[in-house]
Amino acid sequence: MANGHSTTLHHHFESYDQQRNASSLGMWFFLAQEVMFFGGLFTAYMIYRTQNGLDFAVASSHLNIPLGALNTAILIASSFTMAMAVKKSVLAQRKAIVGYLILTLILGCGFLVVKYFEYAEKFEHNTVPGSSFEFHVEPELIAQYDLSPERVVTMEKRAEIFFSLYFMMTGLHALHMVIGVGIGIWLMFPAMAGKFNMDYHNPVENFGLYWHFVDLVWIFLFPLLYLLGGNALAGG
Amino acid sequence: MSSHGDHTNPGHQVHVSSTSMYLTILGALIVLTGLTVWVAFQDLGWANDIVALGIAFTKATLVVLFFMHVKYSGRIIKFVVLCAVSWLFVMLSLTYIDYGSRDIIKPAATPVDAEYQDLVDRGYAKKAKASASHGKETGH
Amino acid sequence: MSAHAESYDPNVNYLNRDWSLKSWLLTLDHKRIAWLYLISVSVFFAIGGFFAMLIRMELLTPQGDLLSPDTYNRVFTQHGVVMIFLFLIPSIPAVLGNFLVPLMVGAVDVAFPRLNLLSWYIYTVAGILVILALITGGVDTGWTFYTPLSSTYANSQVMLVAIAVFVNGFASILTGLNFLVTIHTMRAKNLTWGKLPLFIWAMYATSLINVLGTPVVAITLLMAGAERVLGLGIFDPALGGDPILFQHLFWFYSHPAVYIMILPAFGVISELIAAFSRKKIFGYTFIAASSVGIAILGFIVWAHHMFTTGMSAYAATVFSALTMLIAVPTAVKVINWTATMYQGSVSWETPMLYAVGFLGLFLIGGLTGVMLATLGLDIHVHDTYFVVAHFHYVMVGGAIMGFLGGIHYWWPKMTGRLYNGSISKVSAILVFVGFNLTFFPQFLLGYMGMPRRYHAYPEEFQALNVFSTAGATVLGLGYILPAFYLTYSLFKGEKAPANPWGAMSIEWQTPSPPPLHNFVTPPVITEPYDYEHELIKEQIAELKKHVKPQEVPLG
Ligand SMILES: [Cu+2]
Repeated sequence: MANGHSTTLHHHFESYDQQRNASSLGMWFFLAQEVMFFGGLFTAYMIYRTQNGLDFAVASSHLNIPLGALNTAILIASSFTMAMAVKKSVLAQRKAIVGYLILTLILGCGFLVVKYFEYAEKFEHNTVPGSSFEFHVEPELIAQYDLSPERVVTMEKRAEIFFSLYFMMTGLHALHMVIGVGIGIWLMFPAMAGKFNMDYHNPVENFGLYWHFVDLVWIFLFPLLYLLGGNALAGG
Repeated sequence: MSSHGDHTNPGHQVHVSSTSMYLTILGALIVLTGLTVWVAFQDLGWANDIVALGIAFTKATLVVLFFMHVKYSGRIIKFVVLCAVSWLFVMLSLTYIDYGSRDIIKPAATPVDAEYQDLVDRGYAKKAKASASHGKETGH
Repeated sequence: MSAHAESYDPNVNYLNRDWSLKSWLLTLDHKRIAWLYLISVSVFFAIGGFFAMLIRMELLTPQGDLLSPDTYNRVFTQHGVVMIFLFLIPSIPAVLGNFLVPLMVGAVDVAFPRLNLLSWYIYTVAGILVILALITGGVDTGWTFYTPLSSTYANSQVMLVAIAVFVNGFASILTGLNFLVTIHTMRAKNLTWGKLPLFIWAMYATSLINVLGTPVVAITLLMAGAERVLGLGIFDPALGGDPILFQHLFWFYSHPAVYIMILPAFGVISELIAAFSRKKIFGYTFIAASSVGIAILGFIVWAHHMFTTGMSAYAATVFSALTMLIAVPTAVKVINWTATMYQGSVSWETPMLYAVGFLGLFLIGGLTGVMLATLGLDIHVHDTYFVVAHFHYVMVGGAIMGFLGGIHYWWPKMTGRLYNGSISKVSAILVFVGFNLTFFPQFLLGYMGMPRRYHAYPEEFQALNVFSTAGATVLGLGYILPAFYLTYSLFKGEKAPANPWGAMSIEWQTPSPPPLHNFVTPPVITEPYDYEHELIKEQIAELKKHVKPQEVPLG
């Protein structure tokens, strides 16, 4: 046992090895829990999407693909800087850990800013579910798919379900990002104090796992929510 | 009590990946993002969804294996990842067998069906068949 | 233990080392957190029991004379919510599990003591929210929160209770996560998976369900809540949303939740039967594997709650068949327990009475479960008292019998005191008799067609309902007695030896009550339930020298 930094070894663990094993296993079980948490939303999405393919495609075409793609790139980049921060924490390179953490947080905030503009756009166009929800199928689409007036009405209702799912999924995802940014800021203090090294870096590692998980969710949200309208409407 | 638990655990040797590997993964993820946007605008019929999900799974696998170090982790962590993915799969697939098979076996007509038909006629409920036709429309 | 070497004083244990309120409310000791949970779940058991009493009083007469229909709806909903989420789900894992998991694996504490304490605080917040909802009018949707009733029509405190259940979910997720990691990484040297007590296997399986199932009910209630409060429309039929989807997601958790309640009881019963038959448990591997098997199978049967909703008949057939599969690992357990008792030297101590009572009641509960899994029969008796009787046989007859049996078994270890043998036996018999009197008539009522959740009923059902209410009184007495004699034993009970039952698992090797860090000397690890082992032979011989109050013959 390395007695030099025994303050970071909790008393009920026998060794740093055991503490690290327990910590990362605990984090993975937590992520399994997160998978099922988002899984409920993905299940709802799958059922409605398979039942209302065209309706969802039409609703989806109201999302902003360039902004969605930009956010995907931002998150992937932040995953990279996060992975580097974990690497530097193992190597106990204090300044590099702090630097990469800051980069990660800046990218995370960038994502949230883009998301803010996207949400604002939805509020402007009243595509936020609720009493003021308004959605109109474009005349070209009605002509293209030869939709009856009743069909247009159901389509507008299904669009509200799509946007409900959109706001639930991206909202919970954004909430996870906000929490992540909070944890990241809190981690800066031990990072600056040089607490992390080969034996003790679980906080950074677990934060990294959490951050990557949030990235993973977005990797699925982006095609499912943004892209499935692209072909249906461009191809016709 | 000097030694503990599962000795195949990951921690005994902390794995450090090279920066160039992380950069390679970053590049691959960005390229795949571009690809999925581009392919969404190509008309592949029913295959569009499959391709989009396939790309997403590839990206997810890269993140899990390399950024999250599962490739270098012990058996138990691989087991947890497997658990999470398979439980999600169970939830998706078993829920789907209900919705996917509602038209296969129809219970005998009951007075309720007549009432339901009435609701459909008056525009309060949707036709049972309507869902199937939406699916086809998407494939244009 | 070298890392925690401190001078050992046999007069100081985890209980008496500090009695200040702060030392309890900020404790990180798993044994004390078990006590915090024991006290809180007992409070909620009393609250849930109070509502049960109101239900039985109302049903004494065919006319709905005691409660208005609306009040009755609120009463049975509160009974369900409190009993399921605030009592049954945390009962065995958070009380006995918290106390025993680290002791049984030879660890100093659980892997994450702070998360463990946090779990109790989260649970407490959920409990307070439920009480708040109670005071401000209660909730009337049934504990299942079906949409669109919960999302659109109900005027009661749906949100408060839904938030409580959401929050409470994270308490059980944290407990489950803690146990999984503890069992994986904190086991004593040489304590391999094949040597773990069956209670640990049961807790492992339960924790898997906690971690993988609970988040689904959380997100489902969040969706329904967003629909109610923010006007999002996910299950709203007016938009083409499907309320049956809510039921799918809800039961994806809530069927496995039955196993969160019953699997820990299976674990307790395995311990009790081995200890009081003084015999190596029959089919250790099968019992251990069947726990994990039940946890997995439990996730693929949920739609048997939905046969009459208008779901696909094809899917209903599949779920019906899958549900029957669960009977296999369950039967494996029952057969192995029976085989363990066969030719064992069975001693009829109080915990064993609960264990045997459990076997009888669970058998009835389980077999009627197979009946209900049968598609045709389920459609006939769905939403009748037959279903009510079935799940009370499983959850009250099964889970609470297991909980009480476990409490009576480990009480000397938890408190260092022995309780009165005769009274406790009388109370165990009262519970068994009262339970059958209460719920067996409900099978008949249900089969005759009495629907559940109604506050008035036709006159021909009265006789059986009177029986049921009378039985409930006996049952209530059986539940109240332990509160008195166990509390009495805390102050006046005889001091308990380290191993009062002559049992094998390693928690009996440490003093009663255990010291702060659980073990004074590293425990001796043997093959599981090896009652031929030298270690235990000495202890049993030692025990036989003393006459214990438990050995007062029955009746
Ligand atoms: Cu069930």
